[in-house]
Amino acid sequence: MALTRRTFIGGSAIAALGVACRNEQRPPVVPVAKAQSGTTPQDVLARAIDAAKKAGATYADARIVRRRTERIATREDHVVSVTAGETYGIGVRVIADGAWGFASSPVVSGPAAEEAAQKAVAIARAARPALKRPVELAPARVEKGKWSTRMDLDPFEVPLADKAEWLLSLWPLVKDVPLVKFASGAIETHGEHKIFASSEGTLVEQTVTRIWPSFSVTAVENGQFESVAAEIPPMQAGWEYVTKSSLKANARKIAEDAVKKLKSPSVTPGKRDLILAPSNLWLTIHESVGHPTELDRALGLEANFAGTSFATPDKLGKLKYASEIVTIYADKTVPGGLATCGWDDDGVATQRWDLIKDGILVGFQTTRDQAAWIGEKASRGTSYAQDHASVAFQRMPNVSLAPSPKDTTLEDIIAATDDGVLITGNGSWSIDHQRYNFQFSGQTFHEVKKGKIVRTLRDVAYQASSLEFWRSCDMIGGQASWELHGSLHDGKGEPTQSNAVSHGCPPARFRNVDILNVNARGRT
Amino acid sequence: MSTEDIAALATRALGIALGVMQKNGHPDAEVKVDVQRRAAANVRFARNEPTTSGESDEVTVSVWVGIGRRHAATSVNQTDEGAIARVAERALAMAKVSPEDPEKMPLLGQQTYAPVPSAYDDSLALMGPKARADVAARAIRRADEAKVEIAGFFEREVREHVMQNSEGLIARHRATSASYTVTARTPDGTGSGWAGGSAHRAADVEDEVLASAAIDKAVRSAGAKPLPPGKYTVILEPQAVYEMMTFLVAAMDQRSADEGRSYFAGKVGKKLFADFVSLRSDPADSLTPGAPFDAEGLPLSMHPWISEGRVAKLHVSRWWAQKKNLEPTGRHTVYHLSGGQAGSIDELVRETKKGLLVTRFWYNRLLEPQTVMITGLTRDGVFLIEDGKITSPVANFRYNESPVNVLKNVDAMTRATSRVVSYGGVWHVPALRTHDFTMASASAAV
Repeated sequence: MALTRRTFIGGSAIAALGVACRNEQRPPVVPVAKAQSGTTPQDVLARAIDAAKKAGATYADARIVRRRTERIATREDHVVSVTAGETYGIGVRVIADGAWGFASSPVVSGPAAEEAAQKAVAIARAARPALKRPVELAPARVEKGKWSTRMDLDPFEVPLADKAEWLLSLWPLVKDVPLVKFASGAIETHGEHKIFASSEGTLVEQTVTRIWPSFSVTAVENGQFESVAAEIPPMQAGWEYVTKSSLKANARKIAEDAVKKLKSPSVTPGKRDLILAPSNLWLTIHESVGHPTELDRALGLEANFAGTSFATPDKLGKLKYASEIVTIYADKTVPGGLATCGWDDDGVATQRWDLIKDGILVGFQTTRDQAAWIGEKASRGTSYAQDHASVAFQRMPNVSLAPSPKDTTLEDIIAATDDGVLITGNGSWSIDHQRYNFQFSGQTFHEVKKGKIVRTLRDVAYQASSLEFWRSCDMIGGQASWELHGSLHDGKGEPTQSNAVSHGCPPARFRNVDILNVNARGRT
Repeated sequence: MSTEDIAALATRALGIALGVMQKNGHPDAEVKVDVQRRAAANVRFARNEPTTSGESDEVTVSVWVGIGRRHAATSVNQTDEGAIARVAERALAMAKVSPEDPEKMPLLGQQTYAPVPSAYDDSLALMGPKARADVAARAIRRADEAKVEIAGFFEREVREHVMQNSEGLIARHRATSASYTVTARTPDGTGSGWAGGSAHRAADVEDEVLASAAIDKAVRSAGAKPLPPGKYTVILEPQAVYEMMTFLVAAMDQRSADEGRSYFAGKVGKKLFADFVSLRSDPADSLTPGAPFDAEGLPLSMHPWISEGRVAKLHVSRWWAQKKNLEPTGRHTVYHLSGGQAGSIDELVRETKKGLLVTRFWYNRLLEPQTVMITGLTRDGVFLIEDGKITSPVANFRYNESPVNVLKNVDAMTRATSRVVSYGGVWHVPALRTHDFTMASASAAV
């Protein structure tokens, strides 16, 4: 359906009436932002789209986005920084002469929206001479509605003093632990309020709130130091996520773990069985499955920066990516997931689908302009732009490892392991630009001998090739051991944009993995 | 918005913010306003055609408020009076509820800044969609002719910054910059080459030279064979040198050293590196033009960090300077690594019996702060050097190495330095040859 100004405004009434709430919950906490110059945001979006079409665009979409961030950071017994930021504006994306063009404005008014639309068309036209394959959008249903994060208490409504008090209450819990010298804490909150309209008639409004309490403790002795960070992931949630978290209850243990790590023997390198807790494994999934199955990356669109992928579309349905007990799926609907929302930034409804099924590569992450490249008829709904001033492109959905149908626990995995290392938390990580060779560390390391944890270790990293690693997976925890972890800041694209993404997984075991000793103390 | 407009906006924003403080019963509050304009425009291309291109022009108003030892900062990308007043009110409210910060420093008063060379180029600031698309089209044409796949990113940006505070400080700076990176790959996926550079003048962007260099490297690196992991003599091209040196500079902090949390603990004044190595920051140097002030408005002058292989100085914050009776250095953003005598990378190759030539590194991460040990991977062109000649392409490696060792074991650097593509600030670095560089494992990535 082509969008006229009249049908568009008609569409906006649906949002105003609050029907079609995709996640069946109360309306967004943040009210619809008032546009400048007295018009409604919906009017401004319609003017952008009208102007783009008038200038020759065959497709246009416009997003009005308000993005808020707040961060409070503490060190030991004091606050070290309190920062907050807000951006607001409109981004207009068009297809003209078969090419994409994008322009934005911090001014949300009819004239500014029209100017951005005209600029976007001029940018698209400039690209035309070098274009070989005009952009084709996969068909998408016209969508209307609202979506917002499920939460009890909007963290932006919580007084900063309460957040500071909560963070500062952690230091007294750890400062008496001998050798503990430093502790850092932070609460980071992100809010996104977005109204999206397209020339095809889609009009959706979404409010997403994400929060992350973090805390780390450093122990020092004889010029040597070790730190351990809390394993509390960021989540799409309200303030209650912080107050109900286990951080306070675990603070002392984190400090004791830092001391234990400091006094631990350095690991002996060699091939061992590796048991990864969910707090470590999520990032390995992110790097060795999440990024390789981004279709734009697999096809070379990110070759200049993020790189390409060993998982190319010709391997779809054939590549034995992992052992047959491994199923990994993409999911932009899981409650709490950082990438969860109602519609992506193409206006496509979100969904769940398999990337690796019983060990075989079966899917990719796509957007409307990519679906046809692998013969799919519809987008998987993974388009995202970090703010109004950034162009939307393919971004990672939540990518998770399915639990075992058996009710295997971490304890069961340890008990079944003769000689291994259990790793929790995330340390240093690095992976090559085609996603073959990775090297990850962690926060705590435990030596497992004859089915029991016998001691803690330090200086541990594991290095492997993605396929060998996943093919060596022989034990996966059950549903009860499945946890959602994630990152607020995954970078991709040029200019680099940030995306928040979660990864769920149970603990799992990988056989015969190269364990490195990354201790270089005394070497230099 | 012109620079004059930005300056006027800063004055207006400070006035509004001070009015908010007065109205809310805090006439003595310290207030700092930063108005920053960033106008950016880019073109991206991949698979030998343009992909996405865009333009944005944003002005950010940041307000920092200090009351006694309490402080907070907020920002907004709106410039109307109401938005600025709201942001000031929010900063005040946040500062009031913030616990006292024992490390808070008072705002600086009026400062005198040394003149710095202009880093602003009108023709770059005005470069429009067609001129940008032409950069992509030229690379694509060359790649089509050479029958390779090409991807790249060109971005030009204008940055203007005016800082004003309630103690009378006013600081202004503006700069343009263009950054261009390009990656060519052979159609069979066995060869990949990269080139990149940045400049603040349009005339200095040699996009065709860079595109050709990337294509040439892709072709020459095709069919690379793996070599065993181990210690190698390596010639690092400037981008690879930069990738390592950022970790070194991040570790060069006086407080971390004094607290025993850094490699540099007790190392100031010691000769740690090869005796021709110098690293300095100088915003007045025309090679590395920068703002003459840091984020707090502290004047930035020439600082040597490494002089003739000796650790000359570490970064000292204002708080640490006061506590330890030192001079604060300010937080610099321009760096120049120099001291080499070699005429070119070719000369370094000719003088190398056996070694590897490395184009750049990727996914570099700190492994171990006490030795500044880093891990990462080589990317887009590694070549074997035998008896002074490049003899064959080599497959990529993961390395585990410290920039400390790189500068300790360096035996030659090029005299000329290049402005590399940096993640922030301006870096001019040479190519260099160093020994015993640890390639830890093979990488199958091309």
